[in-house]
Amino acid sequence: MVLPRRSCFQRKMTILLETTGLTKDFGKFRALDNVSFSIEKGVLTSLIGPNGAGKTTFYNCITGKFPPTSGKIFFKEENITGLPAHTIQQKGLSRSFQIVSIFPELSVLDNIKAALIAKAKKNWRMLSFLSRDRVIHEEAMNMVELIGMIDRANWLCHTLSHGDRRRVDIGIALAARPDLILLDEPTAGMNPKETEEVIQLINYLRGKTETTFFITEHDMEVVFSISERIIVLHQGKVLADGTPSEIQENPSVQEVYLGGVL
Amino acid sequence: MKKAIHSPACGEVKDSLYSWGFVIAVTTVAIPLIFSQFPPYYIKLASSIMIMILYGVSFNLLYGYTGYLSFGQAAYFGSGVYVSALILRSTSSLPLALLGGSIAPALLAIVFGYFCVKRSKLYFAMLTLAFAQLIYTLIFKWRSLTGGDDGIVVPRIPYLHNPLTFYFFILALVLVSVFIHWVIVHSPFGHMLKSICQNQERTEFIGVPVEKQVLVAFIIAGFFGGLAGAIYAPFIGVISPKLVHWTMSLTPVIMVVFGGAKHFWGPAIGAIVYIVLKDIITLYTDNWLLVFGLMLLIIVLISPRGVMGVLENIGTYIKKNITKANLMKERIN
Repeated sequence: MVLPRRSCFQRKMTILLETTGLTKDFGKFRALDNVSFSIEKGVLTSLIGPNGAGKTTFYNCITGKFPPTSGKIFFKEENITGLPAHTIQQKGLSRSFQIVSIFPELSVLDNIKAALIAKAKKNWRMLSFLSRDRVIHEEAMNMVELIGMIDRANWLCHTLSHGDRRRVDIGIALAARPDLILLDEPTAGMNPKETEEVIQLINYLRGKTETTFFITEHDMEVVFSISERIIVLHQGKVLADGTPSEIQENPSVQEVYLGGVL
Repeated sequence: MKKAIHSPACGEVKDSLYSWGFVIAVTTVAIPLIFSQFPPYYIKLASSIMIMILYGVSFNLLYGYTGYLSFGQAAYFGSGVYVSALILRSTSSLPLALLGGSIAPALLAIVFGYFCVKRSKLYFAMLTLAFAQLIYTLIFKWRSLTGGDDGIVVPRIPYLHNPLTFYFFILALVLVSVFIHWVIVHSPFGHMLKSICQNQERTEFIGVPVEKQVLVAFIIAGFFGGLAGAIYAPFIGVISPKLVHWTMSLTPVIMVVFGGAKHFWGPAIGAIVYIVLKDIITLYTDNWLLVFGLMLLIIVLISPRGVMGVLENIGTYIKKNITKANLMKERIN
């Protein structure tokens, strides 16, 4: 049997993230039902599904916002189930949020610096000036340049447009140079031009960093244009898993999710 | 082009080391020079302002920078007062009193803070208040140790008998302590506090243990609040449970709201205004809080960022007009 999707990541089969039987209940409602799959290093994977399919719940479970009801999560072959969010982050798993989550009253540069301080575990240093820390400053400037905000490095974030805030958001998540980054609907609430810019940014950042991207998205055009692998979630269960063309041809996906779109 | 305005909201600090030169010059040269002409009463007034500045600044590390409103700082100020007084009575050693009077409140802050920082903001405020009332009741009821309602007479310190000498001693202590705060808020640690204030969830998700970080800020605030109390005991001479009462927790809140929580010097301005106004208004009426309350109301309505906010607005207004005037001149030329 030929499995075409395997071909793109056959060269390195390093598994970054793996979940086994992940289940999450909110009262009587089962948001995630026995979700098992793995993310390979270097493969841009997208998680799609209709509203309420459990995408954000899945992200929240993995990143430690709340623990799963049952099941296990492995990151770099280490069991991270139930660990607090900041510990998981320190292990190299970053995320951004569906609603842009940044530090609005700090400048773009200071937003990135916050992430770098945390990464370097300098968050307990209280008797030295941050402005004198050359290492942090240079790293932050590099990151600001990567996200294309170098001309606005000193702008306060609440003065930026929505698209630029999203850049900062991704910058914060990426500043720590994580192994895996989870972007929760990075193009939510954006106009077509901004959406296009974010797609370009993600493609650009993939080339410039070692980080593997894992994205949830509602915009099908975005998903099919950038993904190398797509996982479809429906009512908390994995409905399909494969390359974009496989997903497009999958009859059950067409039936329950894509409907008339394709 | 849109220009980046350095907004002072959420602990964004816009002052520089130069402001320190100004502060040191005024407090060490100008004030005693003026006051040496006046009765010692005014020197004592200046001393109590200094102590309140330290109390306010330490409180603001928690409130202005981290966004956690503590309603129970009197527990740390008050325990500093009492520990310092008791040490002075038994050993009459001031360094020991200051050390004990700041370490004991810090230890208290570790225990209380451990429970308080687990709660969200309103419950945090209520919990700190509850713990402070606990300390108040303890001091009030423990007659054999604290003298209860009667209070304690604190022995005088021989080498600080002269009010001006005492003023300089307090000044040095407060300047060093406030400078430490200044370094802290500009350090990576301080940057994390500002991040927590603005977006707690995000701070957790960049890999910072938020609760621990806030707890450490809480302990620092407790330590320096205690230090302010520890020096207050020998300064005031007679202490009573009034200094641990919840109204004493309210004092830094009022000072900070008045001066502006989002500016490093906000609580200092607030302390000066608070003490001076209290002194002036009580000359005319016993209901000084009524008058002060009205003034606070006006300030908050004009500028939610306090006096510093008003000053900043005036500053930007003048700058705007200067650039406008310059532009006009260029056009005419």
